[in-house]
Amino acid sequence: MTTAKKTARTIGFTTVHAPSKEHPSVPYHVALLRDSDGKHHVRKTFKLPEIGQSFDLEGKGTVSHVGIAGTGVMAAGIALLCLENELNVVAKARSAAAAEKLASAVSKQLAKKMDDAQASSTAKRFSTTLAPSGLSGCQIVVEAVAEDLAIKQKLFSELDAVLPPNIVLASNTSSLSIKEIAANCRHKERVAGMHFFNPVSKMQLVEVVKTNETNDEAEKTISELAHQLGKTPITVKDSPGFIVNRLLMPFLNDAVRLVEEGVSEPATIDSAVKLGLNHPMGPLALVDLIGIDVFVEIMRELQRKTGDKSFAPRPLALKLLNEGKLGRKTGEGFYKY
Amino acid sequence: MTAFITGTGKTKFGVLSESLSQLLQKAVDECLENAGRTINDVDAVYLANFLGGPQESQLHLNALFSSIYGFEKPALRVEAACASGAVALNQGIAALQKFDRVLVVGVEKLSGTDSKTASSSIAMAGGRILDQQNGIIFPAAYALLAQQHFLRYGSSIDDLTLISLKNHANANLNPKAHFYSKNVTREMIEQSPLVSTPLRLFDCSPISDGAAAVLLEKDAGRARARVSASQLRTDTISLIERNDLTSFKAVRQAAAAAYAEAGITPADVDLAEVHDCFTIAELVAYEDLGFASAGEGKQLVRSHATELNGALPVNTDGGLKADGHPIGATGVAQAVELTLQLSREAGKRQVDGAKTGLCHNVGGIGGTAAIQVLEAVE
Repeated sequence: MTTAKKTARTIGFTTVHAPSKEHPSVPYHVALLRDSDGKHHVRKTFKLPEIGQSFDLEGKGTVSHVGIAGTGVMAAGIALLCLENELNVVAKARSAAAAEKLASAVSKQLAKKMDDAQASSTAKRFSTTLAPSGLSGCQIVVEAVAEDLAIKQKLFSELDAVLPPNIVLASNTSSLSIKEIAANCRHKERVAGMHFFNPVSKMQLVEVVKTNETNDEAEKTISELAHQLGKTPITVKDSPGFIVNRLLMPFLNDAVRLVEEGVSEPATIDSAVKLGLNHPMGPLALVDLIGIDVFVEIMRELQRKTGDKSFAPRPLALKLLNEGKLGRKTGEGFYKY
Repeated sequence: MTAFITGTGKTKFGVLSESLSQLLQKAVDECLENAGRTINDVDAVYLANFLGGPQESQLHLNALFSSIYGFEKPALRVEAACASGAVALNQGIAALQKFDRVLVVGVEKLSGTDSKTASSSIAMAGGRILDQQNGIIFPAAYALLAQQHFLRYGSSIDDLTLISLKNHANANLNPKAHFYSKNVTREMIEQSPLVSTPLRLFDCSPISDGAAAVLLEKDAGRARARVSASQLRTDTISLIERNDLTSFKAVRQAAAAAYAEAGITPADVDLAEVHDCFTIAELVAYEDLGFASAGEGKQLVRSHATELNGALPVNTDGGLKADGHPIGATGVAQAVELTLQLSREAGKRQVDGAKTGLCHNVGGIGGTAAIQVLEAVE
């Protein structure tokens, strides 16, 4: 049985310039609609409505099908966010076991957030695949695999080879160059960054990273998806660390330096930053959360890319790395857990 | 119905340093003194407030009132979004069947949070799912109404600018107004930032703090104005649940009932306080209250009829636009203004020979409408 798509006609709209707690990203538009039964509706949209235009009442935005490559914490967070915002999600995993693990993590989270009936109908919009071609029904694929250039390059060239060129390929990398990730792709114009922050459900920002080859369509699709997910997209040039990590990582490195110099204890430095700079978490606790190994690797990458020696990871970070004290995940870093 | 207003009190409206309790007390003290009464003479209290919870983390305001005044008789809080004040008044008037003297006080403290929080709090007057989640903050609801009105009737943003100009001019004659002594020009209005198209900042009432109070009595002895009608009507919480997007049915129904109760027609009204939370709301009010036929409200604006020296002065205190909109206090403040006008105590903004006044207070986007008609006491 097929049911006709429910549509309505746009009879008016307003562009809202005043941010509120629930709708912080402005300007946005609210379309005033009348359906075939004469009933009125309103819908928030980031696309300027036009009076007289027909409007799909069931579709929430231009993006409806999202592919996700990866099965880790970020991949699960992004998948969940998409599902909660009415999108269809296909996740590509490396193995059947990884696919199973992701699917069970997603359904567990859905069960926490909604009642049984809602969770099971939402879960129907989620599926997994092992083959890159399984993502061919998506409008965009967001990659969130390990932060390793060779792995990402290989994945992007596979996706690029099998997926139609109108499908946008976005990487959630936090520190690698998008241009390098796209190095082996034929259609480099569809590759861009879509950098979410951890935890995905709470952090408002998405960095949309454009290389000098990324086309406007790819940027627009990513921004539109970010809006549909309730996030605020900010476009940034493909550059080391983009905006947030370029500022944050050297700051964390300096916090390590303060410990080296004996300026104060880690807990005191963290308190000072929380109370004096209004950060939700202190820098040393954050390094422990990120992991000393990951942190050191990001600093080295920043140093390599910029040629700036001041970005070299501090000796104390290297010492902890050598001792295997990697932070939370090993039970000890700047703090004991 | 026998109900008389014997005392009025009103704080300055604006961004004020006083707390919610201090504002409440200031208005009530002034009101009781004005009536020559003490709190011991009051039989019951109706206290209007909209956002004490989300903005000030303070509810249970009837008990707060008792903390201030040691009051032990019946007291209760009334909430009907932006119409809280006039609904409290309506309930206070009805309560005179049981009591001799009823105090009605409205209070709001809105300036204590940032504007994003205030905007989300005020959006609570709209439907949670139908409106709020679709991005309908309050200005957006009235912006959609404005656009529909423009498209259907050929009214325009210039008409709204005239309303803003008029209300700011009136506020300059009212020392208690939020924007007293602010010289507002057409250029300032036209160049102010867009809030929700087509509405600009100067089409919107401000975020104000303030309180207002009236004492209602059954006995005419100390009367400064007589209440000849009090009507309350309700409609759906969201504009989109209705067919008509350019008029408020609840207002039309409350107005018809109020005119019948007072035994008058719209032509008998000498001055009115209407709910101009946004300039478009005043234009629509002219039509819903029968001062103009549907779509013809713009003629009253263009002919300057509703200015202070016109045939039907509207919002002589500056209205919500320029007197201010401390939400719970607003509906009560409208009755205060009419009482001052009808008892010839309105100072520089006095309307000569005013005998009949109407006040009109709306909750949300027309979900609540409360109308009172007041008459001068001879």
